[in-house]
Amino acid sequence: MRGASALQEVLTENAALPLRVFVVWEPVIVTDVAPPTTGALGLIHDLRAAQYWDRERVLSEDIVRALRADPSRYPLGDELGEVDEETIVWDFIAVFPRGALWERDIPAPSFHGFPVVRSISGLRQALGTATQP
Amino acid sequence: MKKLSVWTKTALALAVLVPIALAGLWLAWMKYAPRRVPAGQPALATLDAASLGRLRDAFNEHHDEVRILVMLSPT
Repeated sequence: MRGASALQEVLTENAALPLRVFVVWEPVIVTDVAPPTTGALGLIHDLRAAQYWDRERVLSEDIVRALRADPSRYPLGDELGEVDEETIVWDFIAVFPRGALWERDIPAPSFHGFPVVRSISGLRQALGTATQP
Repeated sequence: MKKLSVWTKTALALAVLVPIALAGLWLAWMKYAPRRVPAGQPALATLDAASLGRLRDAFNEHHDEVRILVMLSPT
């Protein structure tokens, strides 16, 4: 939850930037018995955001599949060694540059981090770089 | 064997029943609580194997913009 609030702060700071935000909520811990409530959804209130409930964690599975299929494509370094079939991608944030297309596999991000709340300074830097003409 | 007083029995019963009742209330809240996105955002969409392509399409539709993907747990 702190990650969502921290992200909203960055979005507020960058209100004029042309960007899109995809917020994917997924059950990970035992209390995640249902989709996010209005309170959780309201943490990210930026109009550039679209929110999704991924009950079966299909996006996480798709990302793990892509990482394992072609590790050289993603700038993960040592973290990649920790990715296996059981890995759940969550509390995770990634920035994708203009022009990146999601074809069979999700494209390589220009920045990624986890947990989200500790990735905020990196996110600010990445947005500064990614939005330069 | 020492018999428990009425107060002790009541306290023990409350110690068991109150957490159960609170857990039930919390589960009911989680199940039936409203789930509205902030005004101006598209409605909350459900992802599954069949609809993952719609997220991909939305991502690609905005290829001329920087995109942020964030994956979070609701609690």
